[in-house]
Amino acid sequence: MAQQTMHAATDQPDGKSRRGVRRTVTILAVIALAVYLSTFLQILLMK
Amino acid sequence: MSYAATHDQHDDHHGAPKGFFQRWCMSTNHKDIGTLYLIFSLTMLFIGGSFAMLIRAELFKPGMQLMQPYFFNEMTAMHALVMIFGAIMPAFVGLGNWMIPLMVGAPDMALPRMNNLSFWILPFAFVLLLSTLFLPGGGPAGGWTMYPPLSLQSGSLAYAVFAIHLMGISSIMGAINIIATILNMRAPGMDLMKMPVFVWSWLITAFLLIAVMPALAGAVTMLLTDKYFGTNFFNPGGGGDPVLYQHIFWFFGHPEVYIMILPAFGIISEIVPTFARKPIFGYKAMVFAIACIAFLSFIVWAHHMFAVGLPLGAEVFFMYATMLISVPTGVKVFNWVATMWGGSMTFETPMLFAIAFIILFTIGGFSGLMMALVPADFQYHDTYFIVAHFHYVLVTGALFAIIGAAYYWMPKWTGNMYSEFWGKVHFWNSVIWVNVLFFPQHFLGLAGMPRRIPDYNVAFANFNMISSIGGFLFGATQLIFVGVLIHCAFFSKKKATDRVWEGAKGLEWTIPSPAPHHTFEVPPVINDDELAHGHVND
Repeated sequence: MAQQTMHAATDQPDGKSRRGVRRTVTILAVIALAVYLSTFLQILLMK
Repeated sequence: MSYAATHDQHDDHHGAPKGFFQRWCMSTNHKDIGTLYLIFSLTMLFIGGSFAMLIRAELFKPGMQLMQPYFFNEMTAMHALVMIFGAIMPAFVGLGNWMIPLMVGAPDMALPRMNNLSFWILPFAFVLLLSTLFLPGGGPAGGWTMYPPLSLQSGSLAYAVFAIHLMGISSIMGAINIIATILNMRAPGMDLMKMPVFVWSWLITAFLLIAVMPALAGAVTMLLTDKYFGTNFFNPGGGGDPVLYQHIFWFFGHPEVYIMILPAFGIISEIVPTFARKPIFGYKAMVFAIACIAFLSFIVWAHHMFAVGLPLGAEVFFMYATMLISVPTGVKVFNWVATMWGGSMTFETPMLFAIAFIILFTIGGFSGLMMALVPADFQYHDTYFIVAHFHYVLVTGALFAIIGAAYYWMPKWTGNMYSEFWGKVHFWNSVIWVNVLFFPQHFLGLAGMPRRIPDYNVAFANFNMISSIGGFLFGATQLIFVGVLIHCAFFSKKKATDRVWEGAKGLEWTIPSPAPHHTFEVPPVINDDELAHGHVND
């Protein structure tokens, strides 16, 4: 049985999950942008 | 396990918003957005299906019957684009939206407003794409792969590229949302290795989406600049190379195939244990197999290009890497069968679709293995054998899993049981006619009939006629599905219990049926005995 803790989407103060969401979104968005730009780089290097 | 909802706060959040516009256009609720995705997907299934009916009608007999060749080419390209980006992918996103928060005990997706935006981009993207059929010059007609230089001849390239960008943005935002939800919003006690396999399959799929959708966006942007801004990325006259487009496209395209099948694996891994009344055999192996397939999907893209003239070493590498995928896939098929082995099985409609999936997807997998062999692929390449293969994977694979999932979770969504009789009528007609539709295409391909042609040699007439008859009846059968859905949602008198299925385990079955508008506002207290995989680490 796990311990009950605060949850991110309730009104109860819990900054940890919100920060986690923000960090996750930032990392994933950077990866997506990097893949997008790298396709141009690859073509330019290979052609 | 107890379901606990707060009743002392969020008074304005208890029910769905009253107005139609507020409820459906402004929604931030994962269930409503999931429903929107599923309705959109069903609509696109019938639009894409109508294109397929036109294709099969033209191919019913040799000779030109109904349409001009260019229109036939538009139909093949648009059928694929609509089915892949409009029907299959949004259906999985809809199922993920509905079920992932319920399965991990989260109150909603991590980014509910972005969830709304992810969905509402899609109708605009597809209106844009479909509108090209009515423009002077017509729609994309160079196949869904949009290889240059052929695709550069299309007058509607800019529309198609913009539509693909919108779909890509929607998919990437959806994927980010799903990963953020799963990694950050799980109820306390819902460890990663206790999550349902469906959630695992979506977590891995979402990473695939983020890694490859931008590559597609880059490739089509370069097409656009080649056509309109004088660049020469793929123009040999300016030092470019059209084969490079194929590399970039298939670096996206092959993982895309797994984006369309991994969530299906997750669905089957939910349905089979429920109706076999046994925990899934080899939970960890199932999770690692999905991860392994996802990894391998990044290093096999050139098996779509064996005939393009690759170096021998590359062909051998991609051949062996492709064959390697059969190992984790075989683990999955084995584990589904082992889950059923010795179980107290019953054969409700979701289970029938799951069993059909296992058998027919395996047929598609085996024909894929045949194509992985470089020397053999030179015969199969660009023939109807390929068409048969990927329709076994995507129709009897992905689509059957989606339909099975709809039957499986519909009682939870609507609070009503569907008609088991009509569900079975739908299943048996689907499974018979889909084989009449696609199995003869193997023979056509092996005999040398090329794909994407509106006319063919009379030697191929009989199998084409059989295939078309199967196609018309398979298409008509899906109207039964719509009838079952409408009946279940609005007219069924038989109410669903909370657990719905006797063998169902997991958090989603602890909430009432139909699922309340808001769930898990306070995280559930998790009892490992009630989870499908609660004791996997014991």
